[in-house]
Amino acid sequence: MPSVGEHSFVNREYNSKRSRILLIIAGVILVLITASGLLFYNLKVADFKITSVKAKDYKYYYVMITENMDSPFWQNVYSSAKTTAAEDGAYVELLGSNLSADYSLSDLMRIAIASNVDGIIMEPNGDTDISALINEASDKGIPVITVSEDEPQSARKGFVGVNSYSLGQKYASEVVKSMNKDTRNILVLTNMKEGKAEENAVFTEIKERVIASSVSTQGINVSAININSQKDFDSEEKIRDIILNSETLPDILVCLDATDTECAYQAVREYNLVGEVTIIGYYSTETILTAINKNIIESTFAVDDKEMGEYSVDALTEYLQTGHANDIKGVDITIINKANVAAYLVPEETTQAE
Amino acid sequence: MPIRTKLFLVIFLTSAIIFSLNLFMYQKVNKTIGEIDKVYVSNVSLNELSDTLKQTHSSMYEYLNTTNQDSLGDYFRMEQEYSDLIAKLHVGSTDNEMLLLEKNIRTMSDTYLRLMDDTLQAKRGRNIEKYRQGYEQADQLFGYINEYIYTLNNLQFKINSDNYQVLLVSQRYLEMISSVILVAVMLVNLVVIALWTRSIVRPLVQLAKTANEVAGGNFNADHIEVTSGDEIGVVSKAFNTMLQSIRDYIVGTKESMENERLMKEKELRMETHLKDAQLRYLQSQINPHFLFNSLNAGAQLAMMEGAEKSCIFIEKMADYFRYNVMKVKEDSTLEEEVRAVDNYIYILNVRFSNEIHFQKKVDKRVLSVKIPSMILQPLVENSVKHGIRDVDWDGKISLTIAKQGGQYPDQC
Repeated sequence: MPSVGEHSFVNREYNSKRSRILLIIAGVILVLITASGLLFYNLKVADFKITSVKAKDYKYYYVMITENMDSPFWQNVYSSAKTTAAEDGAYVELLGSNLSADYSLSDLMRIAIASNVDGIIMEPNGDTDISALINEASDKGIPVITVSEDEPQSARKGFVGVNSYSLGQKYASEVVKSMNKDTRNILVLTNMKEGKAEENAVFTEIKERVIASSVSTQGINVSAININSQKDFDSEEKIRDIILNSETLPDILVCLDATDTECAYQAVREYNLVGEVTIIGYYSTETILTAINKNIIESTFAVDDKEMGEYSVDALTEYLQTGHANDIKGVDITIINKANVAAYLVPEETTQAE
Repeated sequence: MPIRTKLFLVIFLTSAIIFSLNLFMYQKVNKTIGEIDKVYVSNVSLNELSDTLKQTHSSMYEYLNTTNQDSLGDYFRMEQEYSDLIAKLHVGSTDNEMLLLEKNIRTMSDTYLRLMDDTLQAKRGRNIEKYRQGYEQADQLFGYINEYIYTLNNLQFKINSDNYQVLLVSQRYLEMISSVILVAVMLVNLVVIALWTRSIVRPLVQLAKTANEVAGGNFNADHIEVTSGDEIGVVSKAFNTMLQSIRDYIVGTKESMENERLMKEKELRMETHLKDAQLRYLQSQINPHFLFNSLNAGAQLAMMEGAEKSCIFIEKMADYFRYNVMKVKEDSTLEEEVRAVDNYIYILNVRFSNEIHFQKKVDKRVLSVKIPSMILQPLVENSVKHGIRDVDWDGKISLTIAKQGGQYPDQC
């Protein structure tokens, strides 16, 4: 048996050891609780990070200007342009999309010029001052590329879009295909001011080809009506009038614009004129593709919007780097009808879903 | 570790833990608030930007309208201020919407200010057409810039609102978590304090228990286990030493008492021995043989002289004393005792001329019973001395020896 002194010494050793262990355990528990609490907090807070200013710098800053920035076509062109530009070290902004004011094409051009951007991709609307603004931009060293619609008289550095002549030819052959012996009236809905060369090119091509092919000389009337789809609700009202009026109701209705095509489709469906009017449309929105699938629209022309975005950015970058760009760059057009619509419907739907 | 240090450590450590945890939480909160604060600060400068732009524009309008030199002064002042403000805006091309807006505000403002300068020059040069046109364009730009500032402001406000929501929610989480952590820390602290104080109090309780035991008289109580190096450990050790000292003291006291007892016993024995020696000395001085031989000589002399009574008297006296001396150390029979009494009475009656009437009634069967010597004669002597001496009537002494219960010696 140990003596009292030894015993207490052993005990003291044991006691201090135990209290040290106790302290360590308490410390570990505290650290664990604190750490797990903070971990939990960080996990919870991780989901809603504070929006901080994070940015990637680019060499060039381009703007895309169009009056139809909300249309799916332009959205696609824009997203394609943005992706392509990013590869070239440039950033494209769809000018005006984040502003609350509804600026006109001219205003947006003025803003772009005053902002001293590196390049402008734009869709002219045929207004006279646009040409002057393109020239002003060009004077200030800002290259302008026109897309979809052209302004050939201006100082634009290039045009990316559909060749009106070949588009007219393709339209004409579609019209001819849809014709039968009862076809009398063919109506083309244009959306530019009359007398413009581009519109004439499509229309005259259709007219020439149709008349040339109508061997039976059944007295086919090919006419054109201008509809300014850029004015709100205008095209819808006009098309409705045309379709409701049995005198003006054409056998074949040719639309050169996505909005016109959709309006025509809605009107035909609403007034139960399916089968009476053959619609040849433009562009491939989901509505149009569905309508083709349902045999309400005969066929439509799909412009490769992705290609359009790519080419426009490429043209700008090329100009900035070399000082010149291709004057005209054609974009592929494909015809979509009942035979191949299925192939477009699926990817279109997935695009929508995204 | 002393209790003072222990208590200090317990309180200090627990407070330190809670304090540092709080500090940590505050730091987290401050960090979040700080991040949001940055965005708010830029918002404030945007309002300033917008106000300065408006003042620049209106002072130019005032000047163009009235050619007021004060307005021109205002314009230059505001223009300088505005230039300073826009110099702080972002300049590079970027994919961030807000920074891009800033960049555009900056470039448009630069264009605007250049246009304003041109307009001013045209005004001074009296080129009416040019300054009118210039102002018109500047006005247009002013509208665009304002729209951009407004958009940027809105965007920032939206982000701020989102951030505020985030802050609010994260703050709530932080509150909740910090409460939970604080409660947990408190509980752990309580446990630590409880365990620590128990380690302080337990030895005290043990000490009190042992002290009570000792107070109750149990000096053999176990030693207290000294488990701590604090003041209680010191007291416990002192108590243990005290207990040991008491035990040692008790053992010492017991030993000395035993010694004293032995000494006293020895002393008593010495005294007895001394008395014994004295007695022997006295006895040796008396020399009974000489006395009895002398008395026998006296008796023979009386016989030769014909004094028969004297002879008998001296013989009886010699018998009496012989018995007295010889039987002191040994037991005698009842018969011898009775004979001694007879001798004594005879001697007394010679002395006091037959005044004592002695009667005895003895059961002869018990005469052989052994008894301590010299116990009957003192009884008779006392009855003579205290009973019949100095009485007016005839003294009478009767001795009866009978058996009460038991058996006779010859029947044993």
